[in-house]
Amino acid sequence: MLGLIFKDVLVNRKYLRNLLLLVVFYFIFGLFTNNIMFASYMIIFLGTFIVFATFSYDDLAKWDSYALSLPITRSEIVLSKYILAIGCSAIGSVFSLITSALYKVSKHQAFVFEDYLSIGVSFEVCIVILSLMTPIILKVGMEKARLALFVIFGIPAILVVLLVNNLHMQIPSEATIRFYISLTPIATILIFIASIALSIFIYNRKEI
Amino acid sequence: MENIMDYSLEVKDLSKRYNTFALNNVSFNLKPGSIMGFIGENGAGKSTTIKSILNLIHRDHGEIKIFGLDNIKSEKEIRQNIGIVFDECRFHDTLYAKDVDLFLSKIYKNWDSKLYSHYLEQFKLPAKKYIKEFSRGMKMKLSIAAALSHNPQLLLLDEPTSGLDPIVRTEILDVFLEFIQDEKNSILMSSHITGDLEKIADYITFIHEGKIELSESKDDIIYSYGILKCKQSDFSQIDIKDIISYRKNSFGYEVLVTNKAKLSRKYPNYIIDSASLEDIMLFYSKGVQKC
Repeated sequence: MLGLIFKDVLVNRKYLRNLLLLVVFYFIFGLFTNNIMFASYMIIFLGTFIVFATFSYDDLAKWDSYALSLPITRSEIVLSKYILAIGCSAIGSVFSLITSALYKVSKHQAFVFEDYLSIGVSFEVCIVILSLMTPIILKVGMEKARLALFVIFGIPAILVVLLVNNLHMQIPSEATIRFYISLTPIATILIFIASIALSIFIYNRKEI
Repeated sequence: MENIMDYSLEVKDLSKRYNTFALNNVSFNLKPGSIMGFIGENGAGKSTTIKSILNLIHRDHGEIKIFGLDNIKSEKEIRQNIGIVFDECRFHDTLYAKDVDLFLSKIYKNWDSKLYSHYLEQFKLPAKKYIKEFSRGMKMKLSIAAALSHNPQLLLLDEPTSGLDPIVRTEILDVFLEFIQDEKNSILMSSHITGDLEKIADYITFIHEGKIELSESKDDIIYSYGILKCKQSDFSQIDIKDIISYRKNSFGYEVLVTNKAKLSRKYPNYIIDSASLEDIMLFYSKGVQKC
């Protein structure tokens, strides 16, 4: 598995370099607009999306047929993607925490609980996106999965905005929001585990 | 894998059905120390057979053993000792040749980085150049370098010389001949370029429309098979038992026969030319089979 993760990092060498520049850009942008938290969220998302780039590169190279001739199981191939994604998201989250904290210290502002919470929720959102997308990518390939990305996230987002605006729905109280957020770690873990199981099931049955 | 075994690869009654194509009871065996050419026209089932051997697809029926082990139950163990080369390089364009060493050394227990560097040097492949800048021949040589650098005992080659110029093809075939000097090693090479197989193969297995038509020693095939030529009026004189396949042309009939030496005595008035592998393939693919 380590070899596969290594491969993905090497394949995405240029992408990672560009990502780093983007991170610096967002950070500087955040500094100038006094909105470092936006940069923090973007860093976490960009970290997660590296794994989607690896799927694209694998499809282009027809890598799967070669990978399955190596002394690695199909489960290991699937797990390596999840580990890479978690690793990148975690690195992004830690980086966000540190940069946000330093920024706040430099502005003589306190790093409040909501800041930790928002970074944590961003990390969870990335894990949920990864969990929903990976089985789809393994089933239909990255090209078709891009459409699924829009359907899964774009349409509900549009619907929520329309509902809130047109039905004049009340935004829940802070206490309600905090309660639901407290449930999200467990939900995220369950979704993540289910995703791994489903992905392994799909990939084991796949014919290359 | 030090045990003495009868065969490196045993395929028995392999069957796989698709909507428009099926592999039907494909069976053949590959001995250690030999090269088997696996020939057939495009769409005959060569790649499907190799994919079944590698478990890239799930077979409907049959048994496959590699080094005496079941290819599904002992999949991971077997793959430590197999090298695979496809018709196209499967390494990403954004990699350098030296990157392949970095990650494959973490996958194969027996990976030999020095050997890999030796092959890069022998094949004149730059270590630090993007693979997308390699020519087709260079990409194929890179695939071969990667396949050989963990000291495998079995090479599975799926049309490795397809689309390459004669100079590169000769270079690659020489590498395979060098590999087979170790009598524990063996090669299964699928190709529709029969000229390459005539140069290096010890055995030939011919697949046509998902069925094995023959699986014999190359020398036996070359010495045994022949093309009997006769006029249209004489065709009925040929014993139907002697006809494998025939083709009609403006001069008469060409009949694919076996036991050339014996039939030369049986039909002294007819010319029986030697049949190349390409001829045999043509007769099986395009000829009329005996009823």
